[in-house]
Amino acid sequence: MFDLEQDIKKWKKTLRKNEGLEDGYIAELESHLRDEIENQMKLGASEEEAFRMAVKSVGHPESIGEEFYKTHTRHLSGRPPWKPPRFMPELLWNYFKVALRKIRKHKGYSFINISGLAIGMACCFFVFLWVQDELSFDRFHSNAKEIYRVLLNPQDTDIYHPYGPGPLGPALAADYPEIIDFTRMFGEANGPLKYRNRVFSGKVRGVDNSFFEIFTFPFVKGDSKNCLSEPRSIVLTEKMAAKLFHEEDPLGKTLGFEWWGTWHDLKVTGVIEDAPSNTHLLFDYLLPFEFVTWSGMTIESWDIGAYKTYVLLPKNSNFKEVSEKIAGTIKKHFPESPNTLHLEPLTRIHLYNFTGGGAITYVYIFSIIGILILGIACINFMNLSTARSIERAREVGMRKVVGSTRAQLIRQFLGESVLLSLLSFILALILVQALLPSVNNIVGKPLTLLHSGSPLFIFLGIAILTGILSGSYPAVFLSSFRPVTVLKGLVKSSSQNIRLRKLLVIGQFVVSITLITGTIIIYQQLVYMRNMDMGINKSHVINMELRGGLRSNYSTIKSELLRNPDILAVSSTNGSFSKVFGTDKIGWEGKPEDERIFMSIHSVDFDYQKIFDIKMIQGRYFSRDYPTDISDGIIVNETAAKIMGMESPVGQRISCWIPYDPQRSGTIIGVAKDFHFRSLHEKINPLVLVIAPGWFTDAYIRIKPENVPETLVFLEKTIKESAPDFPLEYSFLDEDIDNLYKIEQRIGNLVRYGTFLAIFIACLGLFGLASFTAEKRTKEIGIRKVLGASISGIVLLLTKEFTKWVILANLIAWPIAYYVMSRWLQNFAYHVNIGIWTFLLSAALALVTSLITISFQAVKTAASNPVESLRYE
Amino acid sequence: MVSKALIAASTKPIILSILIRGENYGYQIIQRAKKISGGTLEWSDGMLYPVLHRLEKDGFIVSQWKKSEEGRYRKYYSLTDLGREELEAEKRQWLSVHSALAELWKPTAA
Repeated sequence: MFDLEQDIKKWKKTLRKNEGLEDGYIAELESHLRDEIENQMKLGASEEEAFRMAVKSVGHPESIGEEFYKTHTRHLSGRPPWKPPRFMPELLWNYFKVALRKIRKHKGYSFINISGLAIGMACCFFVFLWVQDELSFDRFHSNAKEIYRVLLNPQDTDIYHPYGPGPLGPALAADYPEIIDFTRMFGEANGPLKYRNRVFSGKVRGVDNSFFEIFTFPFVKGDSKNCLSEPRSIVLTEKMAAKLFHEEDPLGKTLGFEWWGTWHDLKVTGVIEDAPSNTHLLFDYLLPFEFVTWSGMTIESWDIGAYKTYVLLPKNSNFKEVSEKIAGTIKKHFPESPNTLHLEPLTRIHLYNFTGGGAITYVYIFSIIGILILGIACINFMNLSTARSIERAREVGMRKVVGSTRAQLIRQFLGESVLLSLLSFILALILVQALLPSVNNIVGKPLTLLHSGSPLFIFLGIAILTGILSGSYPAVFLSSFRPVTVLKGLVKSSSQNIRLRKLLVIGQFVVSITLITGTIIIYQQLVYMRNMDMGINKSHVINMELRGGLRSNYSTIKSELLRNPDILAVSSTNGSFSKVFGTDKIGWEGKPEDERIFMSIHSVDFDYQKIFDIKMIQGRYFSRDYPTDISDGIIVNETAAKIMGMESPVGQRISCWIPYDPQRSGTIIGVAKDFHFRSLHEKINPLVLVIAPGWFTDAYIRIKPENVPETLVFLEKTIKESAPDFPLEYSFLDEDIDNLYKIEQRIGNLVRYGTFLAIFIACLGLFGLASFTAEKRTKEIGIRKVLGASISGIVLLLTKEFTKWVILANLIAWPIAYYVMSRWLQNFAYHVNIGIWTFLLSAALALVTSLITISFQAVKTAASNPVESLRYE
Repeated sequence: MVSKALIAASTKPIILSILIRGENYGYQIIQRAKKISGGTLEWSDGMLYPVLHRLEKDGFIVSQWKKSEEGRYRKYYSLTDLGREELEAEKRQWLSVHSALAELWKPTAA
């Protein structure tokens, strides 16, 4: 039954709860309520209805109370004290102080926490810088999106290469209106420039004048228009100009350029800014495209593939359509050609192979690794923070008792973790700045942290986000404590929590063990390649390019050099090691029709065998005793003999194409045992050795292992006397061969550092977990000790469990590592086999590091006094 | 409907204008205000009382508890001299705003 008086009493009671409403105000409001009830009842409502409507019309006691308070308070803000403040500077300062105290009190823990996060962040920043650089390749040209490179695809192959005939560019521009402009480019060669007595070598490119309209290379001096239209002109980069001219103004000056043994006088018509490093077009100076004809090469023939062609399309055009349209251009002009054409966007050249894959794969892989490492570091941060929650439980209880709301506590702990992450951020920046030079060395990039458009703000954002993410769980968890239980000293965490932690730690170890295995296998492969018997003697062999005087006075210099007893042999060849010319224009009796067989062809001399120690399995090597060897002698390797299907090759006749002697043919005088003349990525190719006088570009010199420095001094002095026109540049063959595996060494280094990081971070996670479980089992251990357990027994008890996890992680990691690494080894024609001991070694490594990590905590816990731990409550 | 900001601004002159016709108590003041405005002025009734207290504190009105004929206690408010002056001032302000708007909204003979 509804009782009006009773309900009004109740209503007044609720009003009294409000601190802004005093008795007098409530009396006034009650009087209002009664008037309104009377009024409503007069209008025909029942007593109950009238009461409800009246209460509603009076409104919310909360806001009325607040208004009353505002009317009577003398406080400027007018904000009632029972409402939580929006901002309390005193508390903020207190939070800050407490956070700093905690950091100082637990130095070791804070150090691990902050440095772990800092390393994760630094890693992430490195990846970010690297990815940013990779993605920026060739994008600085204002026409970047409209520039395309023309690729040639020989029939029935999946080879796409950019080397096309000279008339291709002009024909494309003439035949198709879609092609606005084109530029051809020749040369990936090095050539020396000479001004007065200064000689410097640099990368030379021959380009059409339109080069500067298509690509964006700002001019410092001179004008982009017609700077290369004169045949004897040259455009230098700032760096090259500074080297040659120092303070002088290079514009209009004449300098010398050596090309195939002849010096040409060129006039400097322009200086351009040094190109940024993120481009696939690398050069030190540019010449008119026609310079290639100075060495006798033709640019008129459709039958030569030596020149790259870049074209400019209109904005927003569909390049695939254009690509299909132009596909048959070469065949149209030169029906014998097997090549079809394709367009490749400039911005994809660096990142994507035309047939799929490419550097973009590494971009993805490293991005994932970066995010993973940061994520793991975050999770560890969370784990460590929650594991230490008991420390903070009483603080939380106290704060709640004196009036902190949950929202305030969450803000406090979030703020604390953001503070920690900002500290880590500063540390990470210092790390990045300090390590950049060595990282640049490994990745071969000039990355910088502080440059215009630097992603510092993004990094700061990442840091704050990391702080919020990694602090969110501890904040929610800590702020949920009930003051009564917490102040009594009881804190429990759920078992679900610990299962998640276990999974995370196992996951971290899976990553670490995979990386360890990878590092070991990459290292094995590198050692294998370095020590593999390549069939040649590669130590103490010097390689140099023959240029200028060295080329024209070659035979004099050779006999001069051989006078020194420490110089064993001097030989000249066409092309250095691994850059052996190849052709399919080789004929022999019984060669199947229509079959295209590529063979490598190498022009050597009588002393070549002495340099490389090539073994013959049939016949003999070239000899001065047989004068016909020069014009008629041919040596093939085993593979070539096998391919040609000759049972007794010696005495057979074959024909082969040589640039200066297209109709060359000869008699096989010997079969050489197979030796590696390229990197071990490739199988040994069929090889034909001939003596073609005049067709040589490089010299090889074998010296005695003794007195190497003296021999080198003699070498330099002798060559300088006879060929003073340029600085001698030479290299050792074993170093050259090592350089063939630069990418593998780079990846090896990166993976190695990644492994250290992963192990470090995983150990951090393990440490957090170990301290967490130790803390949880304090009482159990106390009881065990009271009952007579020994310290070693308890350490064993604590480590046993973790060991189990690490072994489990091993079992998961092995198949992953095996799969990934055997795919990587597929890149090499000659590679190591993955042995079981590799896995055992990585397992042992992981186990040892993790045991060391755990034992810190385990020994500490086991050695603690049981009285302390049992008095815990 | 009248906007919140305008209600807040007009509450003071309305209360003072009602009270100039003689002392009154909260409930009646609200009823009068609603009636005069034809329901376009909507108040949360309880919110009137803090305003009355504020006016009393400022010295524009005074209050007194009185027992009604039915034996109920009500708090009556009446205008002070200061309140009368304040009302005159408010009136001038509102009228000047009113005349300005009226002038602007006059249909133009273009």
